[in-house]
Amino acid sequence: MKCRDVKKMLSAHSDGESPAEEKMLIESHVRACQSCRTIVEEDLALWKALGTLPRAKASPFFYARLRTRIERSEIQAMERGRRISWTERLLIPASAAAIAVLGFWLGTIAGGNGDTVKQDTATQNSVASATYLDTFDSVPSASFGDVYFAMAGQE
Amino acid sequence: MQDTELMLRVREGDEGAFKEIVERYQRQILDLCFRYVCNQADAEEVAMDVFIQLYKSRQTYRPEAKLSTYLYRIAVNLSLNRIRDRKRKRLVSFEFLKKDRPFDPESPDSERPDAVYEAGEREAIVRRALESLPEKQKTALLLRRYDELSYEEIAAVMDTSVSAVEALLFRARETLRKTLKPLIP
Repeated sequence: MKCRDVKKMLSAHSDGESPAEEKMLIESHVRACQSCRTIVEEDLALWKALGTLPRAKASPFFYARLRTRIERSEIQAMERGRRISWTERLLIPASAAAIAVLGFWLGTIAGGNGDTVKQDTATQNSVASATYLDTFDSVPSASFGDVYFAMAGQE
Repeated sequence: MQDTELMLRVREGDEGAFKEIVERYQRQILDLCFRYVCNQADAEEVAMDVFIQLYKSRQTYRPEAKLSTYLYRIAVNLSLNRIRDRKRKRLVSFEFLKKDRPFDPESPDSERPDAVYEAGEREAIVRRALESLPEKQKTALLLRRYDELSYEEIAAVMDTSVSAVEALLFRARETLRKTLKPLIP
């Protein structure tokens, strides 16, 4: 067995995971090979050094806290479920309304004779004027000013 | 009672069986998470997430899968996720530099502050060396060194082959022999 091959097997050998037929060969090689023996010794020291890490502190009331978190997550999941059903409930009428609006809009386009597009600007302006400018009142009814003047008039 | 039997009871809604599983594995899972995240509070949170995930998946649990393997797998994945999140948020944990042990005047070390410092230093060096390992090598090494799992069990947890575990441990040892040279006589 070549030294290079044994070196690759030493890790598994240290872990007691090398096959029985390799075990004897590795051990006899290590006895004779200083370089491989050094690796085995270093591995042992390494394993010991890794043991200096502390463990986690015992967690008090772990199960009680875990139960609380589980219950909380179950409540959240139920609320999420409820939210989904509300969404579903809203989605159906909303889609129906959207379809109705779309149908109305398409109907307007298909049913129109195009006159509205050709309408002259003067007519549009007169409509705007009739709707907004001519009906403009400096003291609209039920406004603060209207109430004030009404009160002043009473006096 | 066997793990499988307990888990089947949990599936039926037996609260006591779930409690028994938690008590049986709590320590191992908490320690494993702590070795990854290096912080007690984070480790506890991740360990709880492990059991929550187990509880949520109780209906889909297959009795042929070993419960401990399943728990270890969740713990490794959640711990790695926590570390990745932390890295993403660029929140570097210097927790490992703090002493885990409170001051104890009765302790023999208390008379020798240099010994306490030395122990803390050694611990920090080991942690840094482990943190510098690639994720898979670190997982294989932690499961082997601290949980004493066999190569076959590690392979099952990591969902890989035994020969891959062997290669990961070989490389991890090679790297650590160099990085931990000051601690190895």
